[in-house]
Amino acid sequence: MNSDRLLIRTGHHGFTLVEVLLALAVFAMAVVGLAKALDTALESGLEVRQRSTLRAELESQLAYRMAFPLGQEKLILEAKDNHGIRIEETLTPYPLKNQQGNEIQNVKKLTILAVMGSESDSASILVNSP
Amino acid sequence: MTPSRDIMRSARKGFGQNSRKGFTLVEVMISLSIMALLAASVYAIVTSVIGASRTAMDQQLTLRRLDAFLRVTRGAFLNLPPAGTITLEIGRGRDGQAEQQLILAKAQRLFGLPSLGGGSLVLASQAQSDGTRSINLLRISPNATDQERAKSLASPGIPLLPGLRKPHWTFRIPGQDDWQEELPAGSPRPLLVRLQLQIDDLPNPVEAIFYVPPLAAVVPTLISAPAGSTPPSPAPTR
Repeated sequence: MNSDRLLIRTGHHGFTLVEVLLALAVFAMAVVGLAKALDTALESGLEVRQRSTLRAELESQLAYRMAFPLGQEKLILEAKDNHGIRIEETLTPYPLKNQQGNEIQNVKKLTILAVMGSESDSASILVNSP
Repeated sequence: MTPSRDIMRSARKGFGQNSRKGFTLVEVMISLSIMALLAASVYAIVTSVIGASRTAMDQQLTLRRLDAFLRVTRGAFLNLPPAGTITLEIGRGRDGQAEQQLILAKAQRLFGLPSLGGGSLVLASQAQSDGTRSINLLRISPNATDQERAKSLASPGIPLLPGLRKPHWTFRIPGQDDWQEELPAGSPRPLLVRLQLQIDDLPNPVEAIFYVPPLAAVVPTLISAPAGSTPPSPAPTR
């Protein structure tokens, strides 16, 4: 009888397992939320960094190709040889007609794909490549 | 009289029965210490979140600065007038270390500065007090004497890109196979200019290549050639 009453009025004697677990669960939820915020901040920082690095790399590569046109159809530069950025360059024929309806010769599309980690970016231009 | 008797009674009843009138000192201390532990852990997490987001923001600022610098510099090389020349000089910085100074002579209207009245613009690396370097934009007026020139080169100028290390310019000159370290006065205009540097906030080194258009305009030789005709030989460049 006495122990029954004690069980019902537990508040005065300590916390039950369920109460402790509930409190822990609430705390854990708060911590998980904060940890997620941290993770998101870190990840978006990394993403922004990779994106802008890729942009700059593409511009540099395009500038390089202005001076030294690609002489083959495909060229791959591995990341370890190119400060962490993998470069894939492809040269494909690009049919283009002038105002008289004649096909313009030697017009090719140069596509440069840059990959860094999980991000990738590409740029393509038309080049005159005999 | 009554309160003291109450205290006496509760004291006699003892701690074992856990009096219903309030908490004992030990209980309060324990709960306080648990609260303190929780608060400390939450504080640690929040601090690291704030620190991480600050790092991310700093990095974004650095990236934006770098982006703007690259864009402006790219435009400057692209818009270099036919008479403009590029030379690389080695100056002595504040700490006596060699500093690379890229001089764009006869460079009016570059860097978005239309009203300078000609003269030379200099991209000078300068040592900062915190051990990093910055690339600053200096101007030498068109008819400067040697003294005025040296004075202009020693001036702080406009900081374009702070917080970097080991800036290094190299050049690709037509007819030369590899990147050249030197570009003394009188050398031909390079086709490509490369800038390598490290920025503390960014893990990877930065390497940017700028295209400098050749002096003579390239005649578009093949665009209107009818199908089947032999392509004419490329126009000679000056």
